[in-house]
Amino acid sequence: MPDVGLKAYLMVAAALFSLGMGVVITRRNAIAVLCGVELILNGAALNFVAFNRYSAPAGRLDGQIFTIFIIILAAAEAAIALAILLNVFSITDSVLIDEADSLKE
Amino acid sequence: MQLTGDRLSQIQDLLERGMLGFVPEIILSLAVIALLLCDLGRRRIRPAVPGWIAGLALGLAALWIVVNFPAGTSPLFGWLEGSVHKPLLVNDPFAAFFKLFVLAASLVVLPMCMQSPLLNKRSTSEFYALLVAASLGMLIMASSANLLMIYLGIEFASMASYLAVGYFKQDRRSSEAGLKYVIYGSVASGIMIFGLSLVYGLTGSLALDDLASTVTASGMNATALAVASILVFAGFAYKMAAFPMHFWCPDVYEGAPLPFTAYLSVASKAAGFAVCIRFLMAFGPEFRIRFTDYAGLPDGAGFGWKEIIAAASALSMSAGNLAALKQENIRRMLAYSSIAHAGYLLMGVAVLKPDDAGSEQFGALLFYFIVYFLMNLGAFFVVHLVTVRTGEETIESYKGLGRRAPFLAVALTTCLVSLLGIPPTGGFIGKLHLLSEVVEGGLIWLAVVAGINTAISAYFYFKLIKAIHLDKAKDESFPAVAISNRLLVAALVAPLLILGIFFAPVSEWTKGFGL
Repeated sequence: MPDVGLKAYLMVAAALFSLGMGVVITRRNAIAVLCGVELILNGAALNFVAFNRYSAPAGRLDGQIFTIFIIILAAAEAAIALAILLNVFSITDSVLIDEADSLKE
Repeated sequence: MQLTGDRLSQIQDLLERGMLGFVPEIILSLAVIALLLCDLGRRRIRPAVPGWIAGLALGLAALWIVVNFPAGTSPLFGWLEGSVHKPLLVNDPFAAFFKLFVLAASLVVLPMCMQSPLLNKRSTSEFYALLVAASLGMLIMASSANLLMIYLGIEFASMASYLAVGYFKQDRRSSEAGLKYVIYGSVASGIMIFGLSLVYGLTGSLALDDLASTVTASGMNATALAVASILVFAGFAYKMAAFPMHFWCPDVYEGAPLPFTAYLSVASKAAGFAVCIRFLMAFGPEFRIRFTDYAGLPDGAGFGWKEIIAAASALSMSAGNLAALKQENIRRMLAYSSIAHAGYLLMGVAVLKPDDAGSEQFGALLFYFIVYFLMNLGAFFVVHLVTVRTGEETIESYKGLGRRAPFLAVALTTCLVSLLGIPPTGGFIGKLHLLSEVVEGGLIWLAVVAGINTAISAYFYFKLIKAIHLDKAKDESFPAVAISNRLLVAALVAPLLILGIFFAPVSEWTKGFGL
């Protein structure tokens, strides 16, 4: 298989990041927003792996290790976010962010 | 790769020294485990026990740092590149200052937690475990010298904080605050991690030590690095509650358990500043985006960290103070006031010079941190004591406090006057030092903005002071405040007044903790 090069990976990562930001900004559903965050994190993880493969000194695995940490923390963060969301859902019967409006001036 | 005996002993030495410098964090980790085990037993333990365990661990960690105060910079963990040690964490006076700051803040917050009636309704050891875990994350933030450690420290502190903010399961406000905090936090950390990945790609290393040398390397795309580091700054700004990542702050401060609000406003902010300052200083003085590279603009036109931070500072204080004007809830008002204070503190960060090896330039900034600690925790402590007794949080409910509880009223007034920054309080001296640094650093416009903002903030601070002392209350009764609480409040407020007059020893002392 031909090597597509660093640029292709970076473009996919940037696309993932932008899609994630788009989802975060436009969606009202808290679960959809969390999916968007997941896209952002995956964009960053892809960047780390690609940079490690193409531009790090030989024998160094910094980027790969960083990616493993991103995956672990993304899972932990999703678990915490869903736990809190479940709690909100059991009180308000809604997962829409704009209906969580009891805190206002 | 073969490890020869010499190399092996080098690595062993590295690990040994690392573990010795890591003792405070190890103490806190053990405390978290012990606190989690508290709930597993069949018999219910007394509600005060977890609080004492947390207090003991935090106290021991602080004591260890004081006794083994680092004289210079000692790198911890990490790897060897040839003979150069690339640390994951560093133990230096700057880190020790912020570690003690965070630990002291948690120790002040502990008695508030132990008195909070809502927190004591059910088993509370989880809450203390979260508080200690958040402190542990902040200790790592304060001493991280590696992009990975910055990320892990921030995430560790954030995740414990999300859960603590949404701790009251039945309470709609607490749950909503938790939801807003976690969504905001995960987006902010996502943006930051994307920025970190670009910084890694551009510099080829995760070690902060390597940043300065690669920033100036030929062929470095300064614009790409600037975009990447602004993305990273978004994550820091979220921790500091500074513009443009401050929108979570009022909602979270209003909904979270009050002791944790006090903790977030002081410890979390300070840890955010510590990690941000370390990151910025690693860039070195050469980091600048020059517009001349582009449209043939005049030589010298461009911007660096100084301009970025100054803009964030001016916008933070303006956004915080203007929004605070119309607040009726005291917690929201203090939240906006803490956003404004992030702005004042950023002002001190903007004029730091990375090429200046002396740590004296940090004096004004760190002095303001000490003052901020005293006045903000003092204010929140009084608000906590009043809320526990009246169950009210509106400014309306503070009417006539001067007659109902003279001691608390005077203490709160002192803190508010200090937050506003007028003599004879530490807040005035702190702001004066900061402003003189800013003017010396050439950012006169920023000093003017800060002056205008102080004038604006007088309105809402004095609105509260007027309610306390001049307005009449409907109900004159007020339950008594125990002597231990009075002593704690006095221990926070008295130094504030002392620092307003005898500030010289402390302001000299803080000059020793720079990078």
